Amino acid sequence: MAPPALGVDRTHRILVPAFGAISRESWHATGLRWDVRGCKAPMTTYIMSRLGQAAITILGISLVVFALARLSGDASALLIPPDATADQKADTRTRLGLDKPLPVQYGIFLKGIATGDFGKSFRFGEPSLKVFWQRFPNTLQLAAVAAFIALSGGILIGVLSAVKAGGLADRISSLIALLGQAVPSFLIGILMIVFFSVELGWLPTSGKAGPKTYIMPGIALAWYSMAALTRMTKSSMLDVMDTDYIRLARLKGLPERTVIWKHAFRNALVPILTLFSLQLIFFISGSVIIENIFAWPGIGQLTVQAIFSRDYPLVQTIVFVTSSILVLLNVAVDLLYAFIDPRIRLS
Amino acid sequence: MTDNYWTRRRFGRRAVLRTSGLGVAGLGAAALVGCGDDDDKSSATAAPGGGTTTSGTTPSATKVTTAAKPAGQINVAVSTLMEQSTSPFFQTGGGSFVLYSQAFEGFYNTGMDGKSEPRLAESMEMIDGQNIRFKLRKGVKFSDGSPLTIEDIKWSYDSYVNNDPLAGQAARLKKGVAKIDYPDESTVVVSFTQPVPFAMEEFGVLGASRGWPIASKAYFDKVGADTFKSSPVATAPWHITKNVVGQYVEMEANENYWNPAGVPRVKTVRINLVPEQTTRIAQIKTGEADIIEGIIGPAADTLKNESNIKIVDTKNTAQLTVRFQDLWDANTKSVQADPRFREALILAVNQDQVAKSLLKLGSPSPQVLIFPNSSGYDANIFKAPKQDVARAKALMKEAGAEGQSMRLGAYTSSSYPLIPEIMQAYSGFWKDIGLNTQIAVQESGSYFTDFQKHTPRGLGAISFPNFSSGAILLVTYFKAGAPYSTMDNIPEIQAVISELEKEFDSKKQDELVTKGMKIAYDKFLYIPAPYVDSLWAVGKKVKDWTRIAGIPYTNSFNTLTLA
Repeated sequence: MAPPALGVDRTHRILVPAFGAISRESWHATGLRWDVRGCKAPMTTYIMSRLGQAAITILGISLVVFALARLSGDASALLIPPDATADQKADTRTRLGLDKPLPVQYGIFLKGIATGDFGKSFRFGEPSLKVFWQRFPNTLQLAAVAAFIALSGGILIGVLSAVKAGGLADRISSLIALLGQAVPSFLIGILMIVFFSVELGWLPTSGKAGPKTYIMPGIALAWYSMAALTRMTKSSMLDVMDTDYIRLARLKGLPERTVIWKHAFRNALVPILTLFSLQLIFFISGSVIIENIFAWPGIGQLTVQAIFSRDYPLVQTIVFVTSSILVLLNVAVDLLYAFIDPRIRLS
Repeated sequence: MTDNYWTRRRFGRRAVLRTSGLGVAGLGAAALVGCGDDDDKSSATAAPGGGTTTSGTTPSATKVTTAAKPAGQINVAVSTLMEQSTSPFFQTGGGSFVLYSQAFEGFYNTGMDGKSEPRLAESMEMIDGQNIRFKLRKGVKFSDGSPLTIEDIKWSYDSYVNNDPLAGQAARLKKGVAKIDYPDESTVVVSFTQPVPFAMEEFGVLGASRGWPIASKAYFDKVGADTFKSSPVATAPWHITKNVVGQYVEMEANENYWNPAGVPRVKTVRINLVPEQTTRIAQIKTGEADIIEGIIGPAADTLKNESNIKIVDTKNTAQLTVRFQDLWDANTKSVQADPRFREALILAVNQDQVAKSLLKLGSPSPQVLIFPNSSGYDANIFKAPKQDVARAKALMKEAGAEGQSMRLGAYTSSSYPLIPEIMQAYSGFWKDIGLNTQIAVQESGSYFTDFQKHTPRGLGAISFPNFSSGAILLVTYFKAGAPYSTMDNIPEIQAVISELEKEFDSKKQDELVTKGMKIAYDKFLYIPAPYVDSLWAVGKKVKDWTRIAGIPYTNSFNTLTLA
């Protein structure tokens, strides 16, 4: 007997939940059409399709980044003394390439992207991409710590809340989740500085100088995501805990820890990871505020500095490269989903 | 074939799901393990024409006496280090004044009174309107103990004007200087392409801290460009030893400094970049920082109650004005063309209240762009107006301006606090006399761009950092066509500026500045807001610290005395 398929007929693609479970021969025996495109080849098609979409998105980003950078005003005004003459101002504009028409400047920008030359930072006087890569590892390190805190904290609190539903632990964790989503990260950051640094003297206020300096910015950056993950974990765990196989596991006399972590949590994990992948963007974008509060030498701080000094090449590089990384990360996650669940690539 | 566990399980869906959480945890663990708008506005003591010499008052380098050895370390938290360049040949904005004013020297640098003082030059002589002769100080040594030679001077100039990227001041120097002669080991003659009545100010470069910084050629040849850029050897009181971009710069006392009185008493200064004011305040409270900059009035109020923290200030570092932007149009029919209306707006404002209640610092300023330390300033002429609402109302009535509406542009500035809030207060004052304003707050970049294009009309706020040269103030901000001028259509002022640009006598220059400023003052062309002060909080480790007059940026660590 053929396994159940979704949308089976001779004209539509066949959606098979577990493709590897049946052979081609046994499928043909059912008399249903075997859609090669729909089952074997679509991963390639899907990859090409997603990469194509990503390329269009990245091109769109380049245009938005270019336009937004120029909306903030004339960079030459900040780079020359206020008493500079019109000639001197014109010289500066020529030197920076700002005298060219905007479409030409955009063309140069696109050509630069293609060749990996994002131009020289007005402020730093070095290739923008070099300045970016000098700082990006710091942001990545902080993002990794924040991701770890958010995921582990969110899961632990969420599971505890689900397992002890209605109890004190549940109420406390619900409060944490509520505060996490209601109180902005920057405020949490400042409150932590006041409490843990100024009042208790346990942690350094800011900077990047050792493991201790990762704690507060890591928590502040993880704060919102941890709350979201807590809520998702709790909700997902509650759904799973109410299923027959969990009841069966308990009836079989399995230890509660095994029931929760092996049987329930594993099955609750997919939506949690889905949400987590969406939160990854926040660990980069949230760094703009957190890095300034904690004087963290990453691209968040660099972005603010570049915007205030109207350093077009640097702003463009930071936003473009970061956005492109995030777009590609999303593509990777989508591909992972398609790999995990074939229905996605077939839909 | 051996069954390989890793290849067998690598792409399994369940394996991926099972290990994804661990992967994130691993990343985190791995990370843990791995883990403007402003120039210095120094004023040169412009040498009068006809060969008069301005000499230095600083001690001779040959009279070095033994002083106590520098000791201890100070941590300073600053809001910005701009591009954080430690190359003497690439310095740009005022935010890096903390570095370049202390680690590099030119012929003249900014003295403690805010005016230029001789450093590596002993004197300057204006030969004629186009040529200046500098006599070099003898016996000067670099921080590594090697002697300063004329070769270093030549090489430094070439490096400065040919640096990539080119600093704004270097570009001006490159364009404005025709040639430089070195007739002997201690003389430099700079020839400009055209007459420069106030060369020191006009070019900023020969007299200011950033101008023609001198560094050691021998050291550059020895260590190469990269090491030189991160820790150059120069003659200034401080020697940069470490530059971690985005985090901090470390400087050590130059014990070979040619002026014994200028040798720092502290051995090491670490300047940490801490952009957020709240974090800087936390640092001074915890003792992580011994000096923090960029404190605004309300925050200073709260710190005053802390037993181990002192608030210190530098007076009058910036002024805010509101401009009559309709005057950009020579044929304007706006009520702004009526001096009674302009006077009414000035008289309606209570600057004292704004300074005390809102800014919690500063003092009222006159209705003209000038500072008490600027050349050409006259306290008897430039008095701050007193609020007189009754007269303001009467003037509004006379001008027929009651019930009028006007746009009021504002922005947020790094050098002047709370501009939008002050404009809110001003709007209230003006409402009381019958003028309705609509406040439009813009991002500073676009605000300045619009201002320079003369796009907005109505009223517009604009702030300026302290200038000690009245001549430069007048030429920069009053001359027709200048980026921030609203005086294009005031012929009396333009005539004074023309006269000033032909005048080489510094005393007469000052008189012309006073004359030009008085015209603006009498015509009520500016609505003034209080002069503000720059504030720093210092911790218990600091016993004494003197700063340069009028300069809003952190400076002069060589005056620090530890408790």
